[in-house]
Amino acid sequence: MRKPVLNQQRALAVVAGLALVISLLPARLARLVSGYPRHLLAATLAPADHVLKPLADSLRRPPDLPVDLGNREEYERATQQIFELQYKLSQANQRIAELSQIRNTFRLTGVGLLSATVTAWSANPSHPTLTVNRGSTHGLRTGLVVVRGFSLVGTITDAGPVTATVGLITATKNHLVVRIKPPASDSQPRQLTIQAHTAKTRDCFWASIGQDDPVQEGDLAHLNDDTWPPQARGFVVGTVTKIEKHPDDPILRRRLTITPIRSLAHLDAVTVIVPASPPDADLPHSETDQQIPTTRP
Amino acid sequence: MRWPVFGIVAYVWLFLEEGTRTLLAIGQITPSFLLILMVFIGLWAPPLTAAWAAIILGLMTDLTTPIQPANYPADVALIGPACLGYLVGVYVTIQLRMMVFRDSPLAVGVLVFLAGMFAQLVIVAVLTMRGLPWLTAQPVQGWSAADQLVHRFLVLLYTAALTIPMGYLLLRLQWMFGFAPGTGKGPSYPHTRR
Repeated sequence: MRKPVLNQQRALAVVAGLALVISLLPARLARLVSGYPRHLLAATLAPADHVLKPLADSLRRPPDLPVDLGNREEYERATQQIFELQYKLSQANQRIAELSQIRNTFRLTGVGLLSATVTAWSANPSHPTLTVNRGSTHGLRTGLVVVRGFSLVGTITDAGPVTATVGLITATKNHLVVRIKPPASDSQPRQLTIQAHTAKTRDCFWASIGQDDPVQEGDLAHLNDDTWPPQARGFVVGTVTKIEKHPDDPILRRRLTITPIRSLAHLDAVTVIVPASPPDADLPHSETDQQIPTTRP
Repeated sequence: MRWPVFGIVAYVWLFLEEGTRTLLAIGQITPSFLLILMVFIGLWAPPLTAAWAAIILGLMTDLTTPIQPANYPADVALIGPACLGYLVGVYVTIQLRMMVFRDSPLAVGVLVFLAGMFAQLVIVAVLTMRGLPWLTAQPVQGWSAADQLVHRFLVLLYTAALTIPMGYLLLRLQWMFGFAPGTGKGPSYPHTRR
């Protein structure tokens, strides 16, 4: 009697070979293969994670770093006004659309803000990510900027139908150009543009500066990187928490440590900045920093 | 083995792993619950069943740990590295399971460390292979095999330590999986016992 061509051992060998081939595919093809199962699994896990992660965070959460951004009351009032104006704008737009009935399409030319709840954190050292409970059905797409209050969190690196992955700013690839400025309470006019590198611990950045560069502990690092979307410019990457002698050149240089204001692993909610046009179609940005954040911290 | 029970436990384990990550993290070191489940299955299930279960657990791991390829705008959940790694890991477990007291959570912990080392070596090797110049795959952005090995070694130490309570829990739940008593040759519930 002949043995069947496909038995369990052979099937296992085929699957193992297939796994090896898929793992060596170019990113575009590998993404095609894994896209649907990844989003399906993420969508299945999201409701459960939505319950457990806040519980875990409430048990163990590092405190936010103190930061001085000026008059907090005024800032909150301004933020509230922005929300109210946005609401009024959307109502006005609806009325225009109803009354005119001539336009078939209506495009919001401003920037939309979409709140999303963080359902998971991945500690992958080469690519730390957050998973949020909003996806392509809510308008998210790859490349959108994600913030929390005035802090920059990262960009969307993958958007499934109901979940999306946020690549954090502390990922290895990030060498951010930041502008160091004093906090609002410091009246000294000083600023410095430097390149910040991700530390090996993946929870902060470091940068080299000269001995005479005007930087103090407590200064804020604002994003000023041309490679990032224009909407991200001006958001706070972190605060200068440590200035020490540079180990390689202790006489001429100093080494800064820039720590994100909030622990990115413990965020419970984030805001996605959704431009009306695709990120690639954005106009070139101006040099002006966006000093006033658009959401509540 | 009862596959529905395996599916439910694997889902709960993955959900616990994701949900408690921030609670259990020591710096960037977080335990891998699925690795514990893989070793537990490898200890008790028939070899082929254990191999299929390892591939499924590896697939779940791959799908929840995306990588960032170099010069590519999005991240990718790369199917394969953990599937292969867990397959090798479960093979090591099957080879060693006759030498340990399978009822002991401590033994499960030791095996998690040993099998996990092989699994992580394979995962790092496969991901490092993506950087070879004669392959069409993009390397992983900022990939350092040495850094990864150190990180994964610490993850294994933490996971092995956590195996003692979790292994105890799994051993308490062992009757639900329907493993054949002692032999690992098939289900143990009466109507299918050989």
